[in-house]
Amino acid sequence: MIRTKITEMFGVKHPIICGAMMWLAEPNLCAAISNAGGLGNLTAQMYESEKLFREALDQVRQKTDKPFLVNVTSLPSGRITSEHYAMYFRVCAQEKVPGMEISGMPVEKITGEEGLAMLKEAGVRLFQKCGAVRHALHAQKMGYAGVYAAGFEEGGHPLSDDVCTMVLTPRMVESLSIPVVSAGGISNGRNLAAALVLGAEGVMMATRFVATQECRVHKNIKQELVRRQEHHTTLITKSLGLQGRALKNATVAQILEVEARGGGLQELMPLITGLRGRQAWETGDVEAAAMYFGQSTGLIHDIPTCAELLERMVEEAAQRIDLVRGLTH
Amino acid sequence: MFETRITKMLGIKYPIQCGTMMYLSNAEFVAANANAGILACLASAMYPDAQALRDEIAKLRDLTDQPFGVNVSLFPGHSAVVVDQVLDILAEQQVRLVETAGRSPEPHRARIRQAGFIHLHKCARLRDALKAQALGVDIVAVVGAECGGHPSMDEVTTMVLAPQVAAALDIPVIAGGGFCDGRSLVAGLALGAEAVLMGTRFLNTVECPAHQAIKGKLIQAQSEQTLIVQKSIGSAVRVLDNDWARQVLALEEKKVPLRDLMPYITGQRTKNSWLNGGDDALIACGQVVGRTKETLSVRQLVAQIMDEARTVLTGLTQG
Repeated sequence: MIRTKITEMFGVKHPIICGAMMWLAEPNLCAAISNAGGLGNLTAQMYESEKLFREALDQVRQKTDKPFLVNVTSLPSGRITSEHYAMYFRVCAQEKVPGMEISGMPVEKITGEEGLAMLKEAGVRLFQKCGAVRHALHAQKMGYAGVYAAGFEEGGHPLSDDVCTMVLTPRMVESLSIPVVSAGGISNGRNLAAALVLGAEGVMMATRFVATQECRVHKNIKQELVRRQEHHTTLITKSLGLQGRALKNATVAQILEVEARGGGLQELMPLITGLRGRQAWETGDVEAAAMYFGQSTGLIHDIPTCAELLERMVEEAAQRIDLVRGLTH
Repeated sequence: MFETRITKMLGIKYPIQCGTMMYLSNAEFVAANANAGILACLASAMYPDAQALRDEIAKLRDLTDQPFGVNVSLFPGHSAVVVDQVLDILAEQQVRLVETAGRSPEPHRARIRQAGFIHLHKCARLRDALKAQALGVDIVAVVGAECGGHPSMDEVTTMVLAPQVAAALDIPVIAGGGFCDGRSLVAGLALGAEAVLMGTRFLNTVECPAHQAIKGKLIQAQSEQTLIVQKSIGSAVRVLDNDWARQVLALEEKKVPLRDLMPYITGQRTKNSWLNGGDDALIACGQVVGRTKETLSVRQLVAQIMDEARTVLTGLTQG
């Protein structure tokens, strides 16, 4: 057992949180992680109507009575509009979800200060995913419950400050009074131990949860994560002002080729559309889309259940810390 | 405190190495580190000829009776004296620890083995670490993308690389990149390293011969104020984000020929800057530059790191 401000805040067993993942952080995986003692994630942008979003929340609650988080990510999208965001926040407040992971713009910039006040009043604990201390300080000022310190090694969209977890996590810890959750490069018990030592109150992982029994993704994708190495990710779409970290494959090579010769958004759009990702998850075609996995891919060697994964991580972390204690004399 | 295979093998008090720094790791600085109970290596490539190197080792021995090492750079064209000759001098001077970096140590392994050195090899990728172990190297140091100086072109960070290398190797591992204080030291040990490498943090010590003006600039800099340059020539180096570094990046983007880039990136220019304080040069430093707030003596810094390590370890609650 590892107890931290995060386990206390949510009354959960393990300080391990699942990050947002389009099409994968759905009710089934979300509940599996929460039932395993961590905090599952329901990624709101998968649902284009209030009805669908509410159904997904109901499904989570049918499968678990444990706390979970809802993610709202404000990235440029052809599908999701400001009305969607307003709806997600309203429903989360009405349903008093235990917590939310906000990535991209902070809540008050997406939906105004009254949206922020509504969520706080409903007791929704807000976490902002940040790649810079200045953004984390803003979240703290706005009354967030905590922040995720998202390092350069993370899959998805690391901030172009490029600060790595070993530096970013302690920088946030020493600059903030609210809890910091370490993200980027986290996959096993050694990482968890290191993050706690650096002052984090928990860790957030996403890539690692894709290679679990409960993740509803084609088995080829899980096996690809086991097979690939830490140096197999690369940064794409820097030319669009929003860098992404993804696993090198045919689609990523194509994206980089278009970028290298100055091709713009129009040409890139068909390659980077999220619908491609959805297709890859379903068909198991590991070349068909940019798969936004982090460097922690290199630390993934098997496909356990969520419960096995979390128990094992916590046990290994405690062992590592005991081992370091044993070095002292 | 913190006894590991590395502290025992090298006879050092603390599991910390001060990173070897070209133009800076001279006898006085290395001796200050050795006397504070940590590992440091003399940068042999700084010395123009065999006699100068012999004299510097003699000076170092006058200044400390503690263990130290000597770095032999395998970067092509780095050193005026050829590698094998340097190794012969180190054997003749009965140096115990040799640190190699920059290329595979394979061509020199026979000589190193024969001379009976403890061999520390520094690299930045898992595959190079595995190869070093297979070659019979005694200790591997591995640096993550956040390090100052030369990270791998793969840009794999310490959080991922250090536990991976530590788990994969049987020989002890030193982790570098992102280390500067007690918290990061304990984190490195928890990741599986048996010592940590700190370069940037030790730049800001009283004994480091870098110019005061440079030390001041580094104290001002934030963690996001570093850049990786020279990727276009396959020799990535993390440096302070200054006008000079931006100019180098711009030239690289324009794909100027190497001979036109060279005057901007030459080591001689960096040397002038370290010693004279100008910032018209590439100044290598890691992201921990943003966690470095003051200039301390080496002894004070080491004491502070170890105090903090102790406090952090005591403070970790277990349920």
